[in-house]
This record gives sequence, C-alpha cells and structure tokens, in this order.
Amino acid sequence: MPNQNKHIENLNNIEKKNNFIVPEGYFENFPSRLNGRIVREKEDFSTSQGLRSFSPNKLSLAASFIGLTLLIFSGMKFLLRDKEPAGIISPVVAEITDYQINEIDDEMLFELYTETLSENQSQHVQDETEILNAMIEYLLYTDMDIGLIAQELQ
Amino acid sequence: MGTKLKDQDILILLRTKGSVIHAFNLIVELYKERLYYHIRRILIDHNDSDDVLQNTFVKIWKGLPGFREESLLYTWIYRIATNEALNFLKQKRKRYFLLISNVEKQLSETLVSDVYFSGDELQIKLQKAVLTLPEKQRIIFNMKYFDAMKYDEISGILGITVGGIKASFYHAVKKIEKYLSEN
Repeated sequence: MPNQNKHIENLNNIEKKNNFIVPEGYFENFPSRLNGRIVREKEDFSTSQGLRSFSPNKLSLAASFIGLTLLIFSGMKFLLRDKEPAGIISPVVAEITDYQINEIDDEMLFELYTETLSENQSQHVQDETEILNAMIEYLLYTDMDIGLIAQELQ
Repeated sequence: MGTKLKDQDILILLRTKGSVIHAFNLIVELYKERLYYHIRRILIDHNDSDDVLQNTFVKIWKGLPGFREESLLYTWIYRIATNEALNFLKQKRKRYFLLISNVEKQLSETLVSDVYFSGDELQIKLQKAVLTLPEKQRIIFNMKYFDAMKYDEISGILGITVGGIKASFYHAVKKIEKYLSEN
C-alpha cells in the first residue's frame, strides 16, 4: 500500500519518543503502594463477609439458642428448688434404723450407704434427664416467641 | 516481546503450589512500566492512570490463581489493563455526562496543561491527532506505533482479527496525517 507508506513516512519524520513522564520514584514506590491497596481490599472483603454471616436466619437461630438456654436454666432452678441434699441420706438413715446397730459393721454400713446413694443419685439423674429431654424436645419442635419466654421467666 | 522467557518463569511459579504471590510480584515487576504507559496513552492524566494501573493489578491478583493459560499471559494482562482503562473512560462520561467527543477534547486539554508531559509542539500535535481517533483505533495505533507490538499480539489482546487490526491501523495513520497537515 504505497499511500500507507507515504503516511507512515510522514509520521516517521516525527521523533518517536515517550513524552509522558512520571513523578520521581513513582515506579520504585509503586509495588509498596499496590501492596497497601491489596491489603485494604482483603480487609474490606473480610468485613463484608463477616457482616454477611450475620444473616437474619442465623440471628434468629442465635436468639432461639439463648432462649433455650434460659428456659433450661430456669426449669432446672424450678425443679430443684425443693430438693434436700439430706434426702439422699435420709433413706440411708431409715435403712439403718431397721437394723440393730449391733448387726452392722463399718463395711456393711459403707456398702449400704453407697448403694442407697447411687440409687438416689441415679434416680435423681434419671428424673432430671427425662425432664431435660422433654424440655429440649418441646423447645426444638415448637414455635416459640422469645419475648413471651422472657416474660414468662420474669 | 523480549519477556516471553520471563512469562514462562511466571507460569512455572503459578503451577507450583504456594508460589502465586511470587508469580504476582514478578508480574508487577515486569509489567508495571509497560502497563502504565499503555494506560497513560489512553487516559493521558497521570493520576487517573495510576488509579487504573492499581485497579489492573488488583484484578490480576484476584484472577491469577484461576488463570488457566487459555491465552498467553501477557495477552491476558494487557486485556485487563485495556478494559480497565476503557471502563474508566466510560465511567468518566457517565459521571460528568460527557459526550464521546467531549471526553477526547478534555483529554486533549489535559495534555496541554499536564506537568507530566514533556513533548515539544510537534509531539503535542501528534498526541492531539491521536486523540481524535475513536477509542479502539487509538489503542491499536498506540500499541502498533508506540509499543511496536505485532499485529497478532494486538489481535490477541483486543479480540479483533489481524485483518481488522491492519485496516484500523491504516485508517488511523491516514487520519493522523490529515490532522497534522491541516493543523
């Protein structure tokens, strides 16, 4: 293309040089400035991810968990309010009084005590476990109003 | 381009587990000046070019772990830089309600008053002539004339056929010559 060559020849009369200049130290400092920018982008991304994780569903789940904990705690307080620690011992005392003192030695007394103690404890634990399981089941499978629960607990 | 060997080094690092950061640092070192001037010729203003250059490298950093070598590394890098520069111009138009011709006029005025431009009268005239070209044509002209890229390299970056690149460059030269003779 002869015409094109003529045009290029005219252009070639102009010295081909880079006329754009940069501030002093621009390219030397650029990597560190870029690094700062990338760090800021990472921090912004982490913050936005954190905020996104607090979705409405997760918030309601967290509120339900808090409500459940409060309910269990209050229920336990209510159920255990009349329990006498001495109740564990009184059946032992009752057992012992059925015997004549002369017929019970230390070993027998200890066995009697531990048997009674473990029975009472296991019964106590069994009762408590059943109650807790029932409460958990109720709370898990029943819609609840957290405000109402808080009101009930007051 | 004399950096094909170094591009290979970068690709080796990319394929090596745990070396993405090293690969990225090497890319920054190899390409920061070339990309800067490529962007600068599109945007003219230094501060705008600095912003876009940073945006470009941030995009490269984010995309580097997923780079699948479907194109050459430098093609991919230059494509990101070009798109970022063009998007910047688009945003500028939207922000200031500028028409296409007004953007180029504004860039031309920036050129004259820019402290970071060191050309004589003829150089300024040439740059103004280039600014009269449509965007894509201007980029093609810059890459061919100032960056001395090959037609197939420009074709890979811009996604235009080699024939299209050649035709566009030819017309760009004609327009510039006409501008220089009339001004």
